[in-house]
Amino acid sequence: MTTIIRKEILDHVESLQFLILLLLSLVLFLANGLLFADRYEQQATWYSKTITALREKPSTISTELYPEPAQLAFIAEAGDNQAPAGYTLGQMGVLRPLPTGPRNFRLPVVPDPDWSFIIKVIFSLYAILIAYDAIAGEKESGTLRQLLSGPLGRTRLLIAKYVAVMVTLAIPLLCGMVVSLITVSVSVPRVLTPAFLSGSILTFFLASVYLSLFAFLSLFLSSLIHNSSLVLLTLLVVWIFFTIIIPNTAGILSEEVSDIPSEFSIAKELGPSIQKQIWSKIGILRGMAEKGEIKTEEELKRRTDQAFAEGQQSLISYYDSYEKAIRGRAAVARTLSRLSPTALFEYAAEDITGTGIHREERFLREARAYSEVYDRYILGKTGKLVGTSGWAFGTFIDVNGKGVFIGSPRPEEYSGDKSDFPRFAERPQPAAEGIQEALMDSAGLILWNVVLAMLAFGAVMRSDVR
Amino acid sequence: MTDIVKKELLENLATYRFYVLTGLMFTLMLISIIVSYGDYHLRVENYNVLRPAAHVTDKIILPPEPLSIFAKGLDANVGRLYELGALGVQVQPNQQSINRLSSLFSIPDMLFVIKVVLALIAVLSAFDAVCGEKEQGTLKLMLAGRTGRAPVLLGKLAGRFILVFLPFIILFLIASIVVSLLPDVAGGTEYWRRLAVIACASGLYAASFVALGTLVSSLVNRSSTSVMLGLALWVLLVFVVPNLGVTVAQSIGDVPPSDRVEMQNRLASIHSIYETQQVMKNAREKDYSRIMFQIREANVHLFETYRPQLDRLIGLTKALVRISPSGAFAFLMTEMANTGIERDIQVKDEIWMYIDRNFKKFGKLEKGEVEHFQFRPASFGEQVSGVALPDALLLLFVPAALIGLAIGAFMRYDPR
Repeated sequence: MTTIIRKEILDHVESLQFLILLLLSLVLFLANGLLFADRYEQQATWYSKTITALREKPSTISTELYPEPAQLAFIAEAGDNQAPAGYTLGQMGVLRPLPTGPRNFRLPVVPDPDWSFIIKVIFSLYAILIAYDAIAGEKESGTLRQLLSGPLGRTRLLIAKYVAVMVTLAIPLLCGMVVSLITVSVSVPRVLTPAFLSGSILTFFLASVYLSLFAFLSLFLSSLIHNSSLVLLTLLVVWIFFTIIIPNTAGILSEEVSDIPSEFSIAKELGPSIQKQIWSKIGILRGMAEKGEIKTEEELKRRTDQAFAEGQQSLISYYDSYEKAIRGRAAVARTLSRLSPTALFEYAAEDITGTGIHREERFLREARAYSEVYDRYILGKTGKLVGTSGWAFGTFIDVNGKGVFIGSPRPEEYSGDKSDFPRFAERPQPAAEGIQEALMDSAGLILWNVVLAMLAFGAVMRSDVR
Repeated sequence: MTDIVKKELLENLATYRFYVLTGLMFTLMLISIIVSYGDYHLRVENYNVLRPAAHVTDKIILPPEPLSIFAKGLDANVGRLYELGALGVQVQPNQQSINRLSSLFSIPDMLFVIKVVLALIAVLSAFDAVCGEKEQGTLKLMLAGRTGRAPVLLGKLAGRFILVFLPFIILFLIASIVVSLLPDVAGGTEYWRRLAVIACASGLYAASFVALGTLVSSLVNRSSTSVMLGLALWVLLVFVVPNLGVTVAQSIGDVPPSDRVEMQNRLASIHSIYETQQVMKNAREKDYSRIMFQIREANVHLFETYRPQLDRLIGLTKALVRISPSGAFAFLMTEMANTGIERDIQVKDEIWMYIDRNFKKFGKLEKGEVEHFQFRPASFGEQVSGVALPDALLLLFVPAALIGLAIGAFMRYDPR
């Protein structure tokens, strides 16, 4: 058994294919290390500059919250470049993303060469290319009969082939990862933390599980179909479906499934209805003032302020529920895309590195927790809180023959000492939390492995070796 | 030579490979048209919601481009809402907050199908053209005949190219006709003219990859090595070079991302408001136009320093990405579909000049009506002789060079 594994590995390693794979992988991982070190450096400088500038100007009207640049972004960047750079936080927990476009919007948006991209697209293709002719090729060259006439059983043959494929894949993968890690840690030494190492090691294991399923798939089809070029074709079609079609169409499908109107059509419909609601309340108050039921300016202000605040509150809660719907749709898209193991791998890698959607959710949770601290601080300083939705209203009402301006209340700037202004600091993600989040997706990958391994064994057992 | 072409056609028509690949092409094109049309329709709906009334001059939005169904490119960017005001232009972020699935997964439009899948099919159809025949032992026989080596190779190339391109062009034609009949798409001369250029370009692009596959096939002896090498080159040319080109250019170019510039813009405005207010506190006469001029100066300064940097970055990116025919093809096809970089630049420049002409009227510093914004897109002729030319020449050169190399390699090929 060991001899046959050794022979298989040597066969692979000595081939031209292997050399190409090794070189390509080294180039990609080197580029990955250089690019991400450079980008992290830039982001970190910008982040610390922004935070310092922000701390010099504490404001009780609104403040800005920024997520820290992710140190492990080189493993799975997860589209964070397209995410908002930060959020503005107003009083009463009104959180709005800062306007952002993509990085340099005129340039085409391309996937970043992070580890997850290299593994999920390029290494999975190579797994197929190495393994496709494992059984069918032996059969075509007539050596399969010879092999099986010896003491080696079919099960052992399959195991030997599988181990050889995995070792052949692991060598360039490990070399590449080490190159990338060295490049990153030499350029930016401060990222060398325990999380850095554990994240890399976990990603390696995750990648092995992911690639192993492609190995099993190839072995399965290789023993099922007897023509090796047909095996390759089928595998490539499956590969295109897994890595390109299913993940790409999931987003569009979820848009079809969940019927959410666009932000702008909502704004267009919402505006008039809220205006009507607020102005009808103000109209009643105006009538009362004209009849003399409201006597003083203070009373009028108090009652109109309340009417405006209610309107603002219903706007805020409307926007919040809309955002929840959008997030719900994103969750549907993720669930749909989980049909493909490539998506499972991507999500698990994002969780392990602490990027992507779970990171965003965590950041927003912390921002909401901070907003309570912020509100308490403002309440202590100015004595009142005003939530604003981005809409503002104002008009004149006559009280006792005098025109009084009333408008939706605005938050106030506290002019006194603000040295005790509460600071926002993002809690670093505990490694255990990331692993926990990645658990379900990894389990999905393992399930794929089990099913495909069983199919491969079944096919080898029943395969006609003549 | 015609005999060889005929032989190649008949031989390959009898294989599974042809039907699997054509079936794949069909499925992908169908998905691409359904998905891209859905996306386009959504953008049209958004546009109808956002479109300002006829008398409004401080909001600009361009309608979505029907050809973006074929190549989405930067259409979502071009079609954003521009709100003009005293503080400069405010560009709304994406019309619809697209769920962040992952940056890898872009919309699979026709550009994607051609760039990735047609190239793959071309490589897979050509990898065994020479070495496969050698493995079967028929190459010796074929060369023993009267036909020279060059005609044999050209015949093989032509046969395999027809097998790849003919099904594609038929499906593409059907797709174009179907799309032109859909609501919200007006298929006039402009539509067909542009699609014809795209079809020609995709022919050249497919020819490049057929020639690449044949070249690899006549360099090695075994078809399993040939398919491996061919696919490695496909990965390199379709995924690695274009993607790394953009990222490397950004890294070398060292140009700040546009969102940061926009934020800097806001900060500059706030700063100048604050400063002018401080000055005016003590002044007897309050002149608010001062604030506006100050803000404008800050904005103009920012724009003027940022613009040349960005232009350099775009130039660098294009140069790097064009190393691969896949990059050149993507540039050509997006420009032809009116969703390319140059189109985006033109829109932004025209808006900028429009604001420049009407700035004082916006701020009510000068009397008079603000003129209406009218976008004059570059005409088809201007585009073909201008922005599209370098990419078109590249796409002509690459297959020619590869065919030359393949003939050269085949001349020295050992058929035994």
